[in-house]
Amino acid sequence: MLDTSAFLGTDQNLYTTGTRKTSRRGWKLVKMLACAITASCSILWSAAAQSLKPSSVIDLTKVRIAGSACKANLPYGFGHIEWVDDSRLLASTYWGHCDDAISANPKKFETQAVLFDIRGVILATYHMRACTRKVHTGLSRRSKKAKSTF
Amino acid sequence: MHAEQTIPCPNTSKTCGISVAQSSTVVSDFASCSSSYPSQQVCDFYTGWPPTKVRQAALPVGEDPFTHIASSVWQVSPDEKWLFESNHLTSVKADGTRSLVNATNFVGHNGGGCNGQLSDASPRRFLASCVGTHWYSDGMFDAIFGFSRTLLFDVSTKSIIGRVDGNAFISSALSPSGRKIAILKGGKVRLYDAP
Repeated sequence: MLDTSAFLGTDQNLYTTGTRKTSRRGWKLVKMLACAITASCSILWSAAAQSLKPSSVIDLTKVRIAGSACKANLPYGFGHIEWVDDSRLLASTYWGHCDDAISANPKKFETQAVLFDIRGVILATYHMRACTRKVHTGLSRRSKKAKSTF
Repeated sequence: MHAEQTIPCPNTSKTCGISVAQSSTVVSDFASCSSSYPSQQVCDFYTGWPPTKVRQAALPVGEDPFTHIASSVWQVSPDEKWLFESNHLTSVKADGTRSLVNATNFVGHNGGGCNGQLSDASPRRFLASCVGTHWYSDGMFDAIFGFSRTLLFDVSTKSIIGRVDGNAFISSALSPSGRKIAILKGGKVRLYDAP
């Protein structure tokens, strides 16, 4: 029969001699593990406590831009959002894609903007063909009106 | 909506951007600024509705036309500014003393960047929006993954009071009160109520 004690050597005491006889090195290992577990749990608990869950979700792909023959969704990756006040926000893009492209707009792009309330109800939409000049939209919180310029 | 007025860019420039006044103490409501020279921008200031131009000014590029501090620096209190230095959110006191608001590198070591937004109302809150990248390689397959960290700070305590972790390619916004966050990703706007 194989004598395992020869392989375990001094470390054998670490795990087999019981609580009272646990070596100083063993205590260190136990404390280190306990600290690591506690720290991990603390970090995870802290991150989980800070992590926010959405109170509502607005699906822009279902928005119809009034009067627009272009695609109505605000495309992935190119959108911008800005709060007007704590109950309204504006989503916009410079890169809406138009299927009804005309010669004056060969790139088929247009600017689109949608004004929402916090429940996702559409309050207003806006669109404008993107020509050779960039289009910028801005908001005045003091006048509470959306403004556009190009 | 329909356009009520068309405003030309300053000095007939082809492109310009709009900055909105955050304080009611300033005379104008918004400014339209265009870069005329490498180190200078020209801003037209407007007030009222419909807007009327009240003045024009030349400012250094990157300077906020209303606060006159760099657009990537936020005046969180009269004697303290916050900014990102090497992807760390840093506090700079009026006497020049610097300290980390948070020791975490929100972007990681593979490149990325952060932007910020300060609430209008008190107690002031600061939304940090950072995008970073993870690299993966097993010798046969290389991949890059983007991630985002959106963190809401309480300015007075410098503590994180809310966070949203997710994929990259997002746009985020903090409401004027600092109590609501909107995050646009993948064609959906998600609204969050901050504690």
